[in-house]
Amino acid sequence: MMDQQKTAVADIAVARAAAAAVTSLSGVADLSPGQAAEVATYGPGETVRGVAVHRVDNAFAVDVHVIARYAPATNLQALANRVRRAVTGAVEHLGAGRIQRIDVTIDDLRGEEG
Amino acid sequence: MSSTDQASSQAAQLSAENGKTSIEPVVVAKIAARAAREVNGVHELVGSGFGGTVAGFAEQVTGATAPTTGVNVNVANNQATISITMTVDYGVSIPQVADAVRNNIINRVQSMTGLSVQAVNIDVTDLYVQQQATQQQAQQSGQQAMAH
Repeated sequence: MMDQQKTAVADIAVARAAAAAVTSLSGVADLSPGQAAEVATYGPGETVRGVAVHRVDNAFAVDVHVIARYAPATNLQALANRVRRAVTGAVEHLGAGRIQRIDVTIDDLRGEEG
Repeated sequence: MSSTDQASSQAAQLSAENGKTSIEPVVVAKIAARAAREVNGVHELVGSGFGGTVAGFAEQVTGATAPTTGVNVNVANNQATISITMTVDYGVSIPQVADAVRNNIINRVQSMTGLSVQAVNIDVTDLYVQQQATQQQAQQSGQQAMAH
């Protein structure tokens, strides 16, 4: 019966899509593996660092840790919101499911001299 | 903990619609360090204490300064307290430079992170006297005096 079928999208696929969307943003220098504890999603033979995908009440909860690119006009709150929108778009595009929350952490800044 | 740098306390958390945004103290420290260096009259940010001495020596050897040297940041309840240790160029007004550093740090940190800055404490540990430049100027003015 059709209505009993379901499509499951693996966490690693969600993490990979989120990572690609976030790193394509101009204000993001890179994903960060995390300052205190390791932030990563693990799949068979693959690890996506900087993105941790959890499931809460059948919805996704995503932690994203980024290294921002330094520019005097940078607003890190606005950057975090762009990261959040990019992850939302990527997860919705996959049709993976509902998103409960996306927590964004700016772990570091990178400029010309690092 | 080394007193030369950065990050104490936990990341600042600010609420957003569909999740939290956190900014690590090291990010605030880097912004503050850059803001301080932008001000004319600031010669260098320096680490203090024994850790600073060692780091200063390493910097003299390697020629590289860590991005958060001389900056300490504490964040609690979305309010940042920032301490800066620096040397200033000889001849400048230290109160004016300190005010400019304080204002620039407050502006930059608030506009870039959304955190409010509760206090900027500034410690001026030394004066930098540019001896060669002053000697050259003295020679030049001496020559000019001879020519006239």
